[in-house]
Amino acid sequence: MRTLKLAPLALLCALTARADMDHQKNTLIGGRAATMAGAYTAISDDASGAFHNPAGLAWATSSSFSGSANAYSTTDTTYKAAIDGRDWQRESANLKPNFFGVVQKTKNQTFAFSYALTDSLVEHQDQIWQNLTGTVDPIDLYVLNLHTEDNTYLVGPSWSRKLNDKASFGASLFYHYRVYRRAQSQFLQYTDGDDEASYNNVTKKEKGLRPKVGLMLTPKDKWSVGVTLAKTHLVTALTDAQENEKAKGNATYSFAQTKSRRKRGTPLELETGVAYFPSAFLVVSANVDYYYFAADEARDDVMNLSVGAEWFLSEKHALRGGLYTNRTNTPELTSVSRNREHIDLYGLTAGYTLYSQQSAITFGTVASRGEGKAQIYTGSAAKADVSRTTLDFLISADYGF
Amino acid sequence: MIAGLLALTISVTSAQDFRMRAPKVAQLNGATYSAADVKAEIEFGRGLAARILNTYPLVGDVVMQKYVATLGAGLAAQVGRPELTFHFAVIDSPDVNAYACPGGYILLTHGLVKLLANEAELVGVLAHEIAHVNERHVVKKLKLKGKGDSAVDGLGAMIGGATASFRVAIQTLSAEAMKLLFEEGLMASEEVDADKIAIRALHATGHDVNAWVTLLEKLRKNLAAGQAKVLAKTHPKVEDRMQLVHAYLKNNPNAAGRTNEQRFTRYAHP
Repeated sequence: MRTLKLAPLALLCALTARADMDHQKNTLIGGRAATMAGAYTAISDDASGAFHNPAGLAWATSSSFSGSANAYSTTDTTYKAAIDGRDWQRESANLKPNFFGVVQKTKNQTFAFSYALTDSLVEHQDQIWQNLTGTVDPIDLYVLNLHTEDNTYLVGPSWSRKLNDKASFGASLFYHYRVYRRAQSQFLQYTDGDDEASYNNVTKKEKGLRPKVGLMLTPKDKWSVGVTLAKTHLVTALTDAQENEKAKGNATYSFAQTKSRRKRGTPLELETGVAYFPSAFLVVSANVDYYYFAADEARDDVMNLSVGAEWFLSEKHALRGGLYTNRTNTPELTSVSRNREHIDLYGLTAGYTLYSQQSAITFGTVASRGEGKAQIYTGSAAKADVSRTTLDFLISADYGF
Repeated sequence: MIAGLLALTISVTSAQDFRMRAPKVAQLNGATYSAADVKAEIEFGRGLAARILNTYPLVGDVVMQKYVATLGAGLAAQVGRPELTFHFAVIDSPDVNAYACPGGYILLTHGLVKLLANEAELVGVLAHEIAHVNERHVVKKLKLKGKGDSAVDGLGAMIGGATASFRVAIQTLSAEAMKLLFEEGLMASEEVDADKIAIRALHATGHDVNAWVTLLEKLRKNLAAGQAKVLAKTHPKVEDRMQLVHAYLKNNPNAAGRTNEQRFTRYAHP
């Protein structure tokens, strides 16, 4: 195993962990949809359809409300041999209520109002390394404190109607709000008596609108096809970064502040799905989702795949499962790139739902794992092997009326 | 591509059906409804019948009422849902119609009884209305459900319990049911299903299936004369309904039974 040398000022940078803009499917919305791995564009006939495909709301069998929570969500990221041959492990664990939606059917139209926490991270780390002798300058003590919160919220109305018995159209308009806060402090006590420290604090806030339109068709009996188009338009974005730093060999701290109103580029999202309903007891679905970035955004276009299945053991008990990809939109790491992470994630889902006459409770789990490369040192192109594992336990409830 | 996909959809039959999942299908087929649902259905039907009787009181002819009630009870004992106690009555309305309220409350208009010529025709009408109750047509249309009794339904109980909001909901449903029975009607397919059951009931009880034909003939004349406006709006075409009887008679040539015309005249047309 190659050991990366930690040089003076080559402090660890705070890369993304989970709630990141590098991936598009960090949180699967809705109990049924999530346990089918998000392969839901051609189904979407419950409140979570507002997010997956608003056209599917037209096929909801009744008015309803739904809520789901990723009851326990963990992310474990390991940068291998990052600190003098030792792993740097970052863990995030949080409880997050991530979806609530109401569907109201009228004679010819279906309306919905929903809220979702589409991406969420709460990471806190207090880590100490001692006696790092393999670094460029031996270190007696390395203290890293990190706290990151990154949440993206969507809330808004949806509308859907059938065009005829075989086709429906729908639209959602969400208010997008994202807030990212990070506080990170690092202190290095060198064996030669010198020290090095940095403290940085970053706050980002985004506000915008996210329209999503969808179409759902029945090209053949027992088959459903769904297509959606969405894009988040940021109206305002503000980044405020502050840093205090004292480099090795310096006696004083330097302070720097950066403010930016630059809006990050968001992708145009084209999601397509197909579902096959061989009987009332089985449905199989698949999604192919494309994300197109503008050429100047330094992001790669991404395609994700997902497949899911739902099997009713009886009218009261259903099992679900699925597989999905959550590939990164970051380009491959190069000698000129910095602070970049490139990990493709692959996930599987499983769930169980207990139905009663008017309601349903779903228990499920979503897990993903991936390996890649990361540039974890500030200002350095050096790469470290990185692996990430995510595990969510979710619970959701639906009530029809 | 979208236009192509839309074109493809033309030849496909009902899209909603195949999307429906097992629990919902079970509910719609009536395979699973709980004691709480039955209780709610009875309470709702009783309230609905009372609402109708508030507008159209019972005909004061006790002999006629007893005759219709006795005949109906005998028929319901054979073909009705066992968990229900059926009630039959004639209301003072000149319209030609009959109303099947959920829970087994069946009301015939005096106009209809006057139109009938014999007991077989009356049995056909009663069986048709019993079929609507058996198949829970109004219940399904209004999505009427009782409070659940399982742990999962606790959620429903919290929201829809015997609160003011629940009572408002029931009253709203009752208004919808009135509209359904008096203005909109059930689906044509549900009327056809009820006809099928009525024809089989006539045959099974030894009554003359041809009576259903003669009744439909009279209904057609009434419709032509504009005397059964509501029925014309709420039921399928008489010609279609007659075809159903003729098909049954073709397959069952020995379906001619008794009409009990004398007894009917004595009690219903005194």
